[in-house]
Amino acid sequence: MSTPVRAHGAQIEVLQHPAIEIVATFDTGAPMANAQVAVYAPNALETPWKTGRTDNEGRFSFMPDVAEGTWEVTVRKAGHGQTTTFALSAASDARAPDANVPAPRQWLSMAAVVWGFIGTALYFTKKDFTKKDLTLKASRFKDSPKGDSVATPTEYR
Amino acid sequence: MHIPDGIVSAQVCAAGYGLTGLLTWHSLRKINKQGDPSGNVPKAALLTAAFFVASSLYIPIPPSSVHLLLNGLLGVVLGYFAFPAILIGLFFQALIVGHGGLTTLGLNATMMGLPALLAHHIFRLRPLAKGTGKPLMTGLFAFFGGAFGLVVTALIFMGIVITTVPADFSAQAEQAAVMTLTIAHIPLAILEGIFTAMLVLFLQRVKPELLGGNP
Repeated sequence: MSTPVRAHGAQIEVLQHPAIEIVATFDTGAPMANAQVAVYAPNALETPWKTGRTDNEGRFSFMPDVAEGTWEVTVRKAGHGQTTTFALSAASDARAPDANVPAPRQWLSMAAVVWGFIGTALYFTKKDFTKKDLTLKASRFKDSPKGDSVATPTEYR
Repeated sequence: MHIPDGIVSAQVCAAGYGLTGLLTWHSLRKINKQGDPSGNVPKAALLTAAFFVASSLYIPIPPSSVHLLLNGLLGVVLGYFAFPAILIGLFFQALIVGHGGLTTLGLNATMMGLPALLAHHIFRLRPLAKGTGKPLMTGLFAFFGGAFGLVVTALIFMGIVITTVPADFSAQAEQAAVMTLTIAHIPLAILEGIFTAMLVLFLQRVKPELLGGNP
């Protein structure tokens, strides 16, 4: 895969290697520009194999020197960040980590949760009402054998 | 402004859960002393929903964008109900929106709930001021409650982030970044303060008993 380029008295060798690029974004979709990156190689997870900063688009690329194993990349900026892992196999195809939850599904679950809270609110509002209702009914039962104090329907309200 | 999983060490997470346990116990005890708690549940449930959604509403404040928090507002309007409300809201945020995380739930709850209780106490101080009962005074105390809730949260966040930078990262770069983020929260604090004051004044005019829990 190497293409030698000859120049006068100097030599530049151009080599092509597979590189890994990560793109770090906030959940708003804005890029994590200038965030700190630490890359950990599969055989040494204690000390970072490489550290650096993302560019303005939140991109950072590096060239793994170990072909097989699970690499770990941590990105951090102002207390926000994420650690992700990816596996490199001998065939050198990087497997992307799980994709984020699609937005419509997220909004749907959010709507469900909000509705749950509203339901809770309505339930407890209603409970107050039924409690009053029940007390009214009970008092009606207590003094109604003669039928002289039967509550009119309006009293239920 | 949620601390995600994997940013702080396990010890800090455990300490967060411990503090949250204590604060939840204290809040529930205070709630029980107030008499029938179910009367306040609808209000608490609705504001939990508002808190849950607020973190998905972003406001662009250059150079970054910050999201609403509303913890000061919850403290002012709900009193001690604010702490369990924030805890539940954060749980669902971690689960569904991915803000924060389950390991840092305790830490985030303390970081946002403690300032909410502070906001509640600021709002309760209003009988000390002259002209009690005037809308201006109530509004002013609500503003300070709402704004302080956010400011104190931002300061706690800054403290946690600065003290937990791993050795592999540059602490200076992280400090500079978190400082920028904290400064971006000052306009948001003013905004949330104004919003809290507006809501409280509206409630006082329309349904003053909703603020009754905070004499």
